Amino acid sequence: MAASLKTGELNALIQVSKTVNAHLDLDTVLESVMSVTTDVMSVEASSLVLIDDETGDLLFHVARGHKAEAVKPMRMKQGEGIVGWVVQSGKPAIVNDVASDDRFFSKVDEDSGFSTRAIACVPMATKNRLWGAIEIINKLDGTDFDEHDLALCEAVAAQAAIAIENAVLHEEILEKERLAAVGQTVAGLAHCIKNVLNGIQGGAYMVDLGLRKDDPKTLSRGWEILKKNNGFMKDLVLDMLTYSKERKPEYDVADVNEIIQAVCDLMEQKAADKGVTVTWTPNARLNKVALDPKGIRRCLLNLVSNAVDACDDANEGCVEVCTEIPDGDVFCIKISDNGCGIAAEDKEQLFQMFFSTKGSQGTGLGLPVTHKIITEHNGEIAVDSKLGEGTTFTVTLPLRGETG
Amino acid sequence: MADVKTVLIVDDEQDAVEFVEAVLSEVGDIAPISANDGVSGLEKAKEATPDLIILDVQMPEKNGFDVFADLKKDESTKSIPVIMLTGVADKVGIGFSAEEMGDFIGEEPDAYIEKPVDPEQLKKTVSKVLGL
Repeated sequence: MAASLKTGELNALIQVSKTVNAHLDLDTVLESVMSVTTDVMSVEASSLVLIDDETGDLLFHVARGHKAEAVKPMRMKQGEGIVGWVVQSGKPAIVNDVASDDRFFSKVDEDSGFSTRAIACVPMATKNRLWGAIEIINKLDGTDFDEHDLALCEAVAAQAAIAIENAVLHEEILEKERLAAVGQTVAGLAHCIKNVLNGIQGGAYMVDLGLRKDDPKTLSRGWEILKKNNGFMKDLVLDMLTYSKERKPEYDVADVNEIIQAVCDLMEQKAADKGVTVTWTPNARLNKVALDPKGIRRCLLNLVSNAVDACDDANEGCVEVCTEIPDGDVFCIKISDNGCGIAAEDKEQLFQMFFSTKGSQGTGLGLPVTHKIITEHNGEIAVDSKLGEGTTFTVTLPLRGETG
Repeated sequence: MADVKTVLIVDDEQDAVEFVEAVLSEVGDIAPISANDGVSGLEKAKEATPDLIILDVQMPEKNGFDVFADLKKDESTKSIPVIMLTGVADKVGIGFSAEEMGDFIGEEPDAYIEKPVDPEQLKKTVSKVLGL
């Protein structure tokens, strides 16, 4: 066939091949393939039928021609009509006078109002599977279909079958990846929740022990542990909800200095308990910035808390929060510590769910949530760290004075 | 006079350490000592040669399985019974399942207790291991 291909036919095959390789959206690919086929073969109508996985019926996945809309919702049984025969037998067929062929199923014409005169139909199969068939109907110039037409159809059908197989495989891979991700998320969540439950169990046990033994110290300590883990559970649920939802920031004009001050105030006790100093420098140019105050507060709280934790083992642990405006369009908030630093291999996983360098004390959700909130602001977060020396997180956000 | 048993608790969560200490206070004559990470846990085990080690699995830098393996390699600590505290989770990146002991050198701990810890289960297991 190759030797006798007309230029237009060759170009059509090349276009079909390119389309199949360029797209993974199956519907787009098949529509395009049949559109090219109908044009280059100069036929009145064409269709691509697929075998329904559940019933085995033939569905008109693509239909071209002036009665296409009427044909598309129809379905046929395997063995029914010329297309059904082709699917059932796995063999191509040319029928240039359908009225005289017993295989012809006239109901499609009757229901759609189309008048079929001649059909060329080929099966659509890859090595492993028969997917359906392609048929072309009524040459526009009234001439008969021949072996050349059939061969061209077969070449197109082969490409279409590859497209279908690729799309199905891709869907299977996506589904496996989705299930694996769900499984890992559930496992990660279960692990976090178990740790918090352990804290609650422990706190409750100590409260009970303190009451039984009339030991106020144990009672009081147990109660503190209970409250703390209650807080962890609340944070965990909030982080899970934030991470799972597509959300837009609730913009308001806010004073960035006030947000930083509030975060440092909240961290004061924790930092003092660990012997860590937290300092920050106000910036008068950031007193009216459009952002989501609650979201950014959450981000900074997480980053400053992590920085304080990192200083746990450092002598004269120090956390510094500062801001800068590198140009008129953005501003940066930098949170630096002189703590343990982050290993290079850990840096790559920092924003992954459930990754934590804090053993059982980290949920592994704080940084992914922080990253999400900042991304929702069209901002960026970067980390610079040296093991044993310290870490700086830089949050860069658009500098806007208005919410509109 | 009853023999006082020393129990070393190794867990990076101080709350979890205090929980275990509270449970041990109701078991018998037990003197608890503790460490908040795997490295200092190993050091204390060698210094104090406790009668029992209660060892958490998920800890930063040196996890419980690695600590266990090192305990078993050292003459002074290899005979100390060990109870491991573990949450059940996937092996990759999050924690280790209670069944998969790939980092071990052919030995197993004397018992596993899954978190959240059941105080009664912990009491029974400690009593059994210490022969109380």
